[in-house]
Amino acid sequence: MKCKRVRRKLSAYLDRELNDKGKEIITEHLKECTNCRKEFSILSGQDELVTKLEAMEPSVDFRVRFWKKARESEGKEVVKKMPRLSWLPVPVMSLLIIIIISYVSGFYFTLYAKGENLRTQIETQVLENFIASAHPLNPISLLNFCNECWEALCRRAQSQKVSSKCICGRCENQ
Amino acid sequence: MKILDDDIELMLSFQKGEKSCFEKILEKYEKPLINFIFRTIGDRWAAEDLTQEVFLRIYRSAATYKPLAKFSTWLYKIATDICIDYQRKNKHKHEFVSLDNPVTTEEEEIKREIPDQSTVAPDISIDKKQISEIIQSALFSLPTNQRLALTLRIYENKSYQEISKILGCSISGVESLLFRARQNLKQKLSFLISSFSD
Repeated sequence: MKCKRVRRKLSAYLDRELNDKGKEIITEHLKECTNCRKEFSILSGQDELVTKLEAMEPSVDFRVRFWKKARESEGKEVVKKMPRLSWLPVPVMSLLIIIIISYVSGFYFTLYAKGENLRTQIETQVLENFIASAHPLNPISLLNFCNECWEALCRRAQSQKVSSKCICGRCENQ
Repeated sequence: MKILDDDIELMLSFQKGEKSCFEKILEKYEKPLINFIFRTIGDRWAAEDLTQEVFLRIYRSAATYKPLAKFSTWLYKIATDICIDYQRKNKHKHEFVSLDNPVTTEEEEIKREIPDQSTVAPDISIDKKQISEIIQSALFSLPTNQRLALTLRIYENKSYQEISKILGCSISGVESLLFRARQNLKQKLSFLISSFSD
C-alpha cells in the first residue's frame, strides 16, 4: 500500500476503528516505512498533548440554578396545559344558529301547511303583536317614540315663540 | 429496537416520577458536558448556560422519552445541536482575527509586535497554563464540525458510530473529519509537539 493511502488511514488506525484486515496492512506498513512511522508517532503524540487540556469544574451553584429553572419551566408548562376556553363560542354559536333556523323553518312549514285564510290571519296577528309591543328594540316602536319626541319639541318651540310655524309636519295636521 | 443501559434505566425511573434519578444523571454528566460545550464554543459562562439548557430539554422531554439510542448519544446530540445553534446566533461575536496581521491607519501601516508562537525557541520553557491556552486556541481555529468530531473522539472517547449518530453523518464522513482535524492541528501544534519530543 502506498504511503499516501496509509497516512490517510492513520487517524482511524490510531482510534482503533479499522477492521482486522486494514489494521494488519497498516501495522505491516509501519514496520517497514520510517516516514509513516514518524507520522504515526506525531499523531499519537499530538493526541496525548491535546488530552493535557485542563478540564473546568462546574460552578458551585450549578445544580441549584438548574433545579430553579426546572421548577420555573414546570410552572410554565402547567399554564400551557390549562384548557383554553376560546374555542367554546364557536360550537355554542353554531348550535344556537341551528336551533333558530330549525325553529323558524319549522314555524313556516307549519304555517304554510294551514289554509290560506288561516295563514293570513296568523301572519296579521303576529305582525300586529310585533308592532304593538312597546319593546325598545322594536324598530317601529322606536320610530314612533322619536316622532312623538320631535312633535313635542316642535309644539314647545311654537308655544315659546322660538319658531313661528310647525317644522315637524305633524302638529299642523292635527 | 430498545437499548438498555444504566442511564436509560435512570431516565425511565425519572419518567415514573423519581426525581433523585435525574439528580444522578446531572451528577454524572454535568462536568463532561460543560467541558464538551466549552471546548466547542470557547466561552465558560455560556457553556454553563448551554449545559443547563441541555439538561432542561431532557427534563422537559422525560414524559415522551423512548430509549431508541444510547442515552449519552442522545445527550451529546442535543448538546451538539445547541452548540451549533449558539454559534450560528453568535457568529459575529466569534470571528477570529489574526493577531499578527498589520493594522492599517490613515497614515501608515503598523506592524503588531506579537511574537509568532510557531517560532518559539525550544529553550523557552512553557508552563501548563500556556500549553492549555495554545491547545485551546489551536482547537478553536478548527472548523466547527472538525472540532466537534475531535472533541467527541479524544475527550469523550466516543466511537465513530456514535459520533456519526451525534453529528448526523456517515462513519466514513467521521473518519474524514478526524483525519482533516488532526492534519490541521498538526500544523498548529507542530512546534509544541517537537519541543515535547525533544
